[in-house]
Amino acid sequence: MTTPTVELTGIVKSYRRTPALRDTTFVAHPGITGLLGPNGAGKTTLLRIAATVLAPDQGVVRLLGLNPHSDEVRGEIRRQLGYLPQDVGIHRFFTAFEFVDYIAILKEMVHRRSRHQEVHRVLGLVGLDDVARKRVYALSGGMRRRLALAQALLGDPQLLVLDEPTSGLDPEQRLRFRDLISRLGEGRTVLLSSHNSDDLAALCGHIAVLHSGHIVFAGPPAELIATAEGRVWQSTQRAPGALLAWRTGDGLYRNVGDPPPDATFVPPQLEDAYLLLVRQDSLSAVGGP
Amino acid sequence: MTTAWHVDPRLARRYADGAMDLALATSVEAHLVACASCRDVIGAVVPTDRLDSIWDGLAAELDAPRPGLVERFLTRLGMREDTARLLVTTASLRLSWLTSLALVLGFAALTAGSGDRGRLLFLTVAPLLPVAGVAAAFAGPLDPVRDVAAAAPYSRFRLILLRALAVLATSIGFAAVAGVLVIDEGWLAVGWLLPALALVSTTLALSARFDPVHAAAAVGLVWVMVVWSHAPLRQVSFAAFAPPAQLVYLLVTIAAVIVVVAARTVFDYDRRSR
Repeated sequence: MTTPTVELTGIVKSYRRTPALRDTTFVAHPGITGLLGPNGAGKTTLLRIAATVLAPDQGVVRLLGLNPHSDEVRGEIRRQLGYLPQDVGIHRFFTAFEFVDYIAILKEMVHRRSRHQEVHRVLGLVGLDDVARKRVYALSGGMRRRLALAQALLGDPQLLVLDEPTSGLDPEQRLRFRDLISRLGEGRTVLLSSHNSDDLAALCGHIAVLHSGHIVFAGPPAELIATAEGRVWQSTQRAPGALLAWRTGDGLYRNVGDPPPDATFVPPQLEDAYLLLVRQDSLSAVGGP
Repeated sequence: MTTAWHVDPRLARRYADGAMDLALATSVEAHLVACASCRDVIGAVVPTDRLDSIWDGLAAELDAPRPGLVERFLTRLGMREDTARLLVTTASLRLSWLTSLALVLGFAALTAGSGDRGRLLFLTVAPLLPVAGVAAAFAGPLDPVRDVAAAAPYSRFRLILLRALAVLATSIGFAAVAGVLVIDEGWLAVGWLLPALALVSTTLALSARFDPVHAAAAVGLVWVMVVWSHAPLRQVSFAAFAPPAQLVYLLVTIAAVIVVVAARTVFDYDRRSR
């Protein structure tokens, strides 16, 4: 296997006295790595550390083989880094072009003309070249999300950290994003968090599941799905052993949990495996149909 | 129209590659305007990717923001174009902010005309305005791209200093005009200047550890208490602006600047537990 481009070892990070990450170790290689986990699991904290925005309380960070602890090295990492935070507020009075141009300046693109060409290029990549001169307040939510992604692509970074890039997008936009991100994943390292397990299953060669500040699974999506093999079945009634069950359009129940001996198994999906991994403890306490 | 001279293939190639000097290229272009056959000759040899990149460059320049009056003024003064851009995008340097600044100062100046109590109010408010401006220039909720900027290579410490200086300069300019207009005793009219520097630098120093808005609020509160504790209900005192107090502000400023410089990496790489 290639050498990892993102290595977070023994990371501890707390906000005041609330721990967000407890001794978390996370590794990513070139390609797309997905981060899955419930709200508050520490995904955003982990991505902010990987984007050099936040320093961990304890642990070692290596990004593109470099340690961001020293000032000069951190600059070197940031020159090869694109970061899309979970919510990018964009100055409403900026035009789309102005916004990306502003970030391009912060990315040390000093020369005016070549900077403008780069801004033009990334706006084209996310399909916003037509609205470059529109003010941000006149753009739709999906367009703003694409605009936020555009700034992350400036300078063709080697490491892309994307915190829920597809949230708030309609299905067509989401598929377009998928197309774009999968192209970006060729030869670069993309870290991606999402609540949409379909997106992750479609895009990622590697998935990490984060739960209460711990990595509880790391591996290819197929391996994660395989953990739910024999735990998903169909029945005519809501099954008593199910952690969760729902009636599907064909009138049958799809159950996830501990099957009865005569169960009719169906192929599990990523979200089934995720559910079993993350919610088992909390839901089994509720129990019963 | 007929001319004796035409662009030969060798010349066309040099023109298409952009390898021709300006004088010759200009005369070729002048000829092209009039000669359709030469346009065809050159059009055939210009590589499409070069045309595309020229076109992209043109489109990029058309979309690019046109520098405003202030921005052009700053670059005229010798400031780098990208630095000027970073300054004019500061929230607390926008027209709306400056307008409210002028309004607050205007009201404070009006009350200053109504006697000692009013003058003390003006002197209290004048140094608070740059504090609010500096906090607004880089506070979390007021700087929406904070995280994006934090992950960018441009030094956040440099950006904060740059904006703090610009905010300080504009609000001090405003307050200086108002002060000279409403307060006739010479030393008192500029008595708020050192407090302003002390308050702003203390706010920056505290921002290394705390949220800038909280830092600004705390600094502002302490300032109001310092000024008005000398002025019990009946009596107005300008003790907080007398020379001994001014010396304290100077020392506070120096100490705070030392803290800010020492803590500069904190601004660049967030180690706080917020």
